[in-house]
Amino acid sequence: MRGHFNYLRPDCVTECLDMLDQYGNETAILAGGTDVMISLRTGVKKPRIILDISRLPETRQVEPYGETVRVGSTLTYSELIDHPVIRQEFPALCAAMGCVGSLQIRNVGTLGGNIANSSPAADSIPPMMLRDAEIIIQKKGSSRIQKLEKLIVGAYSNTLEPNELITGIILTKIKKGYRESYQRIGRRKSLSIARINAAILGRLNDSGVIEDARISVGSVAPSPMRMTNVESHLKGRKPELKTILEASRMIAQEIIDLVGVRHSTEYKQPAIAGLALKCLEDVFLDSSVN
Amino acid sequence: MNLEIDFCLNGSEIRLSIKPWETALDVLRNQSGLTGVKEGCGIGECGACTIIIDGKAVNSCLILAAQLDGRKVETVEGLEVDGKMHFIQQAFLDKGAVQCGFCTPGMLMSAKALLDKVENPSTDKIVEAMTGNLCRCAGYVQILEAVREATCMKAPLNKDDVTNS
Ligand SMILES: Cc1cc2nc3c(=O)[nH]c(=O)nc-3n(C[C@H](O)[C@H](O)[C@H](O)COP(=O)(O)OP(=O)(O)OC[C@H]3O[C@@H](n4cnc5c(N)ncnc54)[C@H](O)[C@@H]3O)c2cc1C
Ligand code: FES
Ligand code: FES
Repeated sequence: MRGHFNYLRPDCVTECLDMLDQYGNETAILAGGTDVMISLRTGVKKPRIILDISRLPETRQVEPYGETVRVGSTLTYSELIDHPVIRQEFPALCAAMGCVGSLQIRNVGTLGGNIANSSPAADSIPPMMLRDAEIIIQKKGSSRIQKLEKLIVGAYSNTLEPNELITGIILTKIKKGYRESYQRIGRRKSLSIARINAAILGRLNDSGVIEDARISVGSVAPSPMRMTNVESHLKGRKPELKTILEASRMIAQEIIDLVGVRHSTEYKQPAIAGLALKCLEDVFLDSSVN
Repeated sequence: MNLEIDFCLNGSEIRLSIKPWETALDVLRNQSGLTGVKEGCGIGECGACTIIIDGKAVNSCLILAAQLDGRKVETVEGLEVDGKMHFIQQAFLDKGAVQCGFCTPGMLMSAKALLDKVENPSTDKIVEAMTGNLCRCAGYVQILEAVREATCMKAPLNKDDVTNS
């Protein structure tokens, strides 16, 4: 059951970093609390201090900057989904955020929390990976920026130190002619963690040939992963149904090769292929019609 | 090691002395006596503990009482005014959307958060707002019908409010 702890709520990032510097090792950061409150209840986490970062003004803004947008780490899914810039620039991320839990969970859960929790099934991570996501991490006296792929090193594991705070996420805006899609399979539509999830981003050139394709698949390996072989296979080809089908089977095969054949393979292999096909169709087939 | 928190609860400013590890659910039930806030699962999956904070439906089992400080909090107890049921409560009765009643307070709060924000929500919006609330007996069809009915009742009631004031 829930142990006893102190509750601290800093008013600004500087104060927060001071507190982390002093008490980081015995502290659990709480943003929306949708992961932390469960760990406190089960006793998986027994911090001496809970540091509530949900009201830090510096982490609650969306700031477009040239080709990129800097997204504050403690904005909730609901706030982001309702934000005009986020809606316009990040359709796949919006679709992914719309899949998280329930409205009650989206009303408090944050993007920073999803990243720091580093679940293999995190909905927001695959679409952010495709937008060159860079994570802004601060500690007392210094800050660093790390690519999302590098930050997450395994299931529920990342490079964050106990005295570090994610303050924001830098995402690249959607470029002209690009389309993207996010799909997931869960046991039911809401309140279920993704069994498989995928984001695909791509662009056709003027002659209808695939010029760029980026694929990120979650839930199947310890952390969401880019499918670079399939990406290069697609580039330079026309998005005919045959090619798309082939690519979706390649994605499934590559994942099965990686995780090994298990009792679930018979279900997972066609499910992954089907999911990938849906994404690839969204991105490449619809656009070739236009 | 108690903490003092000040917040607005169902329209009244209050101050409570709480323990840092207590949830909003614990404190609302045990200190404020608002037992309409139900604990079903305790892990954010059933919605029985739904309350409204600053206009948004949230699960009070996943929120620390300390987080209520400075917020505007609404529970099912705040729905009835001067002995008169809220129109969403009336719609739930009219449509037979209550059986054992355990899920009902949470359902009502999710519906209220939606209708406070959206004038005339689509069926998709209603479903989106209600899927975080589970019911093991009455049936979702009646519940969704009740929310739909409540959206229709809302407009005339608002006019009453204007003429009364
Ligand atoms: C019922 C339920 C359903 C869910 N469904 C989904 C789902 O469908 N998809 C999904 O992806 N997730 C789901 N989750 C998990 C959770 O909601 C998400 O991971 C959410 O994004 C976590 O954000 P939070 O702000 O609530 O994190 P918190 O619980 O506040 O924090 C999560 C972790 O990150 C750390 N942390 C938080 N913010 C920062 C920061 N800025 N800097 C450094 N460390 C930080 C915390 O210390 C903690 O370890 C679900 C959870 C519940 C309870
Ligand atoms: S008791 Fe809070 S969601 Fe079930
Ligand atoms: S009426 Fe019994 S749980 Fe919904």
